[in-house]
Amino acid sequence: MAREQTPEVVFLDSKSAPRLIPFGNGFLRERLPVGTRVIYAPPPLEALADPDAAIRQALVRPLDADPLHAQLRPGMKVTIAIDDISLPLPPMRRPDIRERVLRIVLQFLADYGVDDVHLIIAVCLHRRMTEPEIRRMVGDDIFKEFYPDRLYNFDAEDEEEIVTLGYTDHDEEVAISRRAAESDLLIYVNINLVPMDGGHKSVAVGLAPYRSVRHHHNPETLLKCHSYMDPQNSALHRSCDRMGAIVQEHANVFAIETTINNQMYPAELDFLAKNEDEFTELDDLKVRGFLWLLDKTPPSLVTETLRRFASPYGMTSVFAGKTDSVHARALEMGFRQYAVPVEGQSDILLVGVPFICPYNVNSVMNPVLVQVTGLGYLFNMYRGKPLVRPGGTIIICHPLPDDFDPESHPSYIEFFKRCLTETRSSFELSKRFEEQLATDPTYIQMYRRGHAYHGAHPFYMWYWGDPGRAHLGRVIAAGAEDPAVASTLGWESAPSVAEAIAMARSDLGPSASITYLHLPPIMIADVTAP
Amino acid sequence: MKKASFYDLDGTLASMNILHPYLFYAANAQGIFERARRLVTLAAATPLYWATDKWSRRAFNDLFYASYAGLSEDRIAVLGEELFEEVLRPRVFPEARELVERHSKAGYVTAMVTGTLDFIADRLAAHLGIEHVAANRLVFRNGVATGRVVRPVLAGATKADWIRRFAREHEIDLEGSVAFADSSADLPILCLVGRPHVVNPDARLRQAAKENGWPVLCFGASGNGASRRIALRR
Repeated sequence: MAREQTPEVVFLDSKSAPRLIPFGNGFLRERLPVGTRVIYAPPPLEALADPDAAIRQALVRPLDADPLHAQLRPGMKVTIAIDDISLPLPPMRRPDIRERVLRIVLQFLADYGVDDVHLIIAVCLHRRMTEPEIRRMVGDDIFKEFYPDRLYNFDAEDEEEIVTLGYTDHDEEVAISRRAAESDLLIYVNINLVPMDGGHKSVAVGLAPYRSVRHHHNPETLLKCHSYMDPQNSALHRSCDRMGAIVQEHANVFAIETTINNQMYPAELDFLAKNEDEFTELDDLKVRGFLWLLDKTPPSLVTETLRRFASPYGMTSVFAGKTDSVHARALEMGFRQYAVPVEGQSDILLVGVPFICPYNVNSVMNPVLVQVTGLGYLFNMYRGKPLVRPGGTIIICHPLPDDFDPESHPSYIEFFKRCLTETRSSFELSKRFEEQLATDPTYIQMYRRGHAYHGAHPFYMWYWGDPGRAHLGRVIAAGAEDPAVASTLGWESAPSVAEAIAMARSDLGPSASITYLHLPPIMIADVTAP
Repeated sequence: MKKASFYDLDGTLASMNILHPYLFYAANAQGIFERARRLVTLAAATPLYWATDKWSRRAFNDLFYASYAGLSEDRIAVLGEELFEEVLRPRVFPEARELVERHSKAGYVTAMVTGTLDFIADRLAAHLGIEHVAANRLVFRNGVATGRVVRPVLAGATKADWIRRFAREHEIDLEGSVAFADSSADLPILCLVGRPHVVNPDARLRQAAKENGWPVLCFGASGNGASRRIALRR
């Protein structure tokens, strides 16, 4: 592990301040061992001064495609698919980027006499968004005009509304929304929060049913992803690209991808993204006040307040046109915001899991979701090599309560309490239980008519952690309230970060190196050999 | 072994309680004085019914069904179709029909286990495509309701007894079976099957569901589509 200090890569010494670590609904303030490498997110890129003008510009000068207006004619059938509530995190302040893009695109369509327009929220197997959530995302005017007949959630279990377009050369079934496939023009409006998003994944996954998604959301494919944040080295993305090619043979896809900066916190909370050694006295006061408030406020009120939190993200770019060309540019912008050059791996990786992940907006962070956030997302925040060496240890800080939302995550409960207690092998889980829960009549009912994740979803969350599990020697949950929960996940537990580090070092040696990924805001480590 | 899907009725498959059908019969009783007598008695006794239900669902059923005393079997039958069309059918949750259909298609034996009366439950079960029904039955003497119900009164624990017996007779694997109920009075049937579910639960049942990890379904206007708490961000 090289020791070159940069604004984003900091090595702690005996005088270093304690570090803030996300810990569920709160934060820990921990003094980490001397020599610990702390990786911070780069500062936010400047947001576009006039995002509406940039959107118009992208639509009239698209990449490798005719301008949007040149593709329109009266009487044509248009479907606009939109990313769901899983992006961005936390949800952004109004107006949401999707509202901005939709307003302009819908104006184009109206100007050219296109009336047959449907807006489909590409939820795939995620939960359906609720009316207030949809209204907040698309804005009041669009909501009033289109909801519910022409603005709705995609339903992956409505067989009549799904059409199989064909099979890839890997025998992957490509099925998507019939309305989208049979439209003269399919526009996809995306928000790229991380490089994993966007591209062919948008249509080929967002508008696809279980029978199609299972071709890439499986242990074999996910184990070949190094990492999810590096599409070039991700079997998942290669599968999506193959499927996307089939989609493009049948549908005229016009992609609109947007990127945002990492301005996750408002000015009053900007200390959360700062190097703690650079805290001013005011910052220090704010931290103390903030932690005191979190400690003294009833937990339910903290949860409610966090759910109301909205990030002041700024739009940094927008591209429109052919999916591959658009995505390449969006990826470039994403890495410009997130990439942090880092030399060498460490023995121990320390991460804090916050209150939110893509699958618990307005809901509960259950243990399976803590698992996917720690091993699936935070572990994978790299290109090149993982931040931790093979056989190393990851310390995941979260209270890990045995808490589930029985309306949003009913199948997660059965997955955790029944399936996972029988086996933690993804291959076994896939073989023995996945189809059973995916086709369970009640879970299908709750997915279609309630706001529940599909019965297959907890399995995907588990498989998502496979590359991390395969790479690591140990996973230690620091601060876990209930060691039995950690044990069900196959993790060890420690009451504190210090004890977790001591446990890891007892195995890896007293001088085992530590990297603390100071996240959020998001960053992606470009890890090279020292 | 087969699997079964057991459903409570009132509040679970339909937005109704045992008051609704009786209110219909009382409002359609023969003669204006009889109508007035039944409606006034019902209104006056409501606090007593409420308190009794809080104490014991079984005692409440017993007490409430005494209101039917004096109604003729013929009249109950004659008004049955109208009751179904005007009162019951509109109250069936649209999601309930789908739920039953999904379980039937998946090979579950379907059964309604309810404290409501048989002439109501039978019609609703037929409408929903439920194969088996266990419901309370009024005792008639000379074609007139006595106000008593056939023993044992189906409620709570006796519903669970019925399910156990049904499972034995039909070779049902209770561990692989599912049940749906809306009230904490139905905890005995929920605890009996391997996969309990609650629908539009009362506060006590919601807590039980949370503690036990039972899925919570929300049907109808009170469903999670309409009522789910959503943070309104800046």
